Amino acid sequence: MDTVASNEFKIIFTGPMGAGKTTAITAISDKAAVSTDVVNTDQAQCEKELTTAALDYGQIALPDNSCVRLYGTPGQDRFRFMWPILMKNAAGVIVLLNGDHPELEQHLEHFVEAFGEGRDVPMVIGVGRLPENDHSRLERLAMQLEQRGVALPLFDTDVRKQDDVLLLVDALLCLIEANDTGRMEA
Amino acid sequence: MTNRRLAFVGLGADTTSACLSMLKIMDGRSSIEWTQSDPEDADVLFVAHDGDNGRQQWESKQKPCVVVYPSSEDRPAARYTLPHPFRVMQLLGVLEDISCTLGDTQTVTAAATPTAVQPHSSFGQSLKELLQTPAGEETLYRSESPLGQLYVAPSAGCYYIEPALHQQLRSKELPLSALHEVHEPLGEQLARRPIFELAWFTAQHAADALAPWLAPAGQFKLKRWPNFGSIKNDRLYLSLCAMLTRGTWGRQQLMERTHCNAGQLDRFLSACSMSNLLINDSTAPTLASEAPQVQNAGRFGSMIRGLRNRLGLGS
Amino acid sequence: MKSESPLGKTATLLVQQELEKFGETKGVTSAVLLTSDGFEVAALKMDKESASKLAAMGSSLAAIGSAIAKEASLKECSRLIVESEEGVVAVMEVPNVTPPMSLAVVANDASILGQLLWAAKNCCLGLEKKLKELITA
Repeated sequence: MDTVASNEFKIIFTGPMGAGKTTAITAISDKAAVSTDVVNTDQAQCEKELTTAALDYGQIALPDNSCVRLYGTPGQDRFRFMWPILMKNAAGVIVLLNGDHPELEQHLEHFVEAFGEGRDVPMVIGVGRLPENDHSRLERLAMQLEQRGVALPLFDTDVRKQDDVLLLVDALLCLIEANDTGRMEA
Repeated sequence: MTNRRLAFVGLGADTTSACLSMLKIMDGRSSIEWTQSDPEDADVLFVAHDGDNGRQQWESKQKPCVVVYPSSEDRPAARYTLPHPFRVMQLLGVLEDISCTLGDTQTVTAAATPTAVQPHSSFGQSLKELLQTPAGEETLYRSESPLGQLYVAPSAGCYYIEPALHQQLRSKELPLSALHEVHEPLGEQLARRPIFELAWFTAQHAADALAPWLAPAGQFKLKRWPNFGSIKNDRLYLSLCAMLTRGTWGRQQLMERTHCNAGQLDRFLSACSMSNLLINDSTAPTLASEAPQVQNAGRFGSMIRGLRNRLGLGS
Repeated sequence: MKSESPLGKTATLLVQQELEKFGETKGVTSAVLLTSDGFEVAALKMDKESASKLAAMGSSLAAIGSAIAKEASLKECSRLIVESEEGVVAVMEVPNVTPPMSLAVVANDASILGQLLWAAKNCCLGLEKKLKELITA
């Protein structure tokens, strides 16, 4: 593993196009997040005006002058080369999914696998746009993960709500702690 | 106290010793004392699924045979079966069934204390059992209370409840009856909720914090994170889930690490167990408090505290 | 993944001609015209797979360039150059086209930087003119 500067703490937001990565980072970043939004010409995949071509960047300054860096990856596979670049020395990954998308299950598989299944770098999953009062979709995803042999936290998340994004961050911090203390004892 | 003998045929040493140590745990909770004997003298036999010869030989002698099979395989066609690895409650369950046919009565000392949970009668226990045995896609179970009823669909991992009753369930204990299978259509007014939530509310109001079928001195691990539903905003439970999905821990260790009290921990473990998320290994040794306390002392300790403060996530 | 070019057949042909003209510049090994969200529109001396990859990477670079320019209170990032001993990669904006596009060019050590950038800039202006004519025609 690479050595990590003591004041480096990096959280990655990833997931398919249109899952709300930019919105989530904006929800908790100190200042307006830096984004690399460009005009989206692939309306068939996702009907939105802009999409991230390189990365999103936000930060949260801490009182001891250190800072937490929040990076969002582009979602599309053609930008996959950006993923390892951004993942370098990451403390944790938040995968965001669009619960409304017909390929939701494939997206889960794809991103969980591509970002290491939470084995080396802790991972939390937030699923948006789920129907209210029906947890069956979330339950199905949880079973899918169990069959895969990975136990990852899975929450229904509205990325426009700061509290929902904070819950993902908090769960991720708990996992990082569990990992961290476990490693010290090993 | 009745004495009964059991014997093992064709089973590995690990299975045999797990079984014997579980029987030790049960000692005192059951009105029957089980001792190991030769197959010839035994009242009950535990036989290996793959050892067909032995199985047929003993089955023909009209002795009850418990067929032990790997849990990864389909349940064999036999009257008494036990998937391996098994838990105390599963072993107790099968022995109880057998002792009924042997003519024993009152297998579990249900009246020992007023709050003791009687198997098959408590709602929590029936919920746990339903979720452990895979049921058909459509099978539906119902529980009644004076304030209304709810339905559980184990294979879908959810329960159905009227919104008004859901409110009641959240705030107080409902005298819910044990779940039983029904064949009826679901009403339109029912909300579909994740099963963990039901287990959670049930555990919050249970008389004993730790479910009676869990071994307090055992090791615990979570199979997966629960679907918290409406009870997700508590750091303690996030921490417990994080620890229990990344390792196996004893109760003492969990309490030390997360600074929670026994009641909080036990209710959480009970809820996880009821919803079939918990692995409770009663035979593993507990390494309680041998490990140094290093809460938040890792690489990221101060960073995490700082970030939580900064985001208003409390300490 | 989209497979068709965002331009029609005629436009793609005109664009291709423009790229080929640029390809005569000393040291140019390949080039791709790309949309700002990383799809290739037309490519020169490249197979489909390499063109897709260069298009995606070129758009990421262009996007990072714009973000840095904005952070530094510059109006825009019109060009980005990656230099090495063995050659050059340059990504530059094709002005005033819809959807927004960039040109990514790769050249070896036989190229002369000034000449390469001059030719690439002319190519972009040529592309702008051709694409505009098509829209107004």
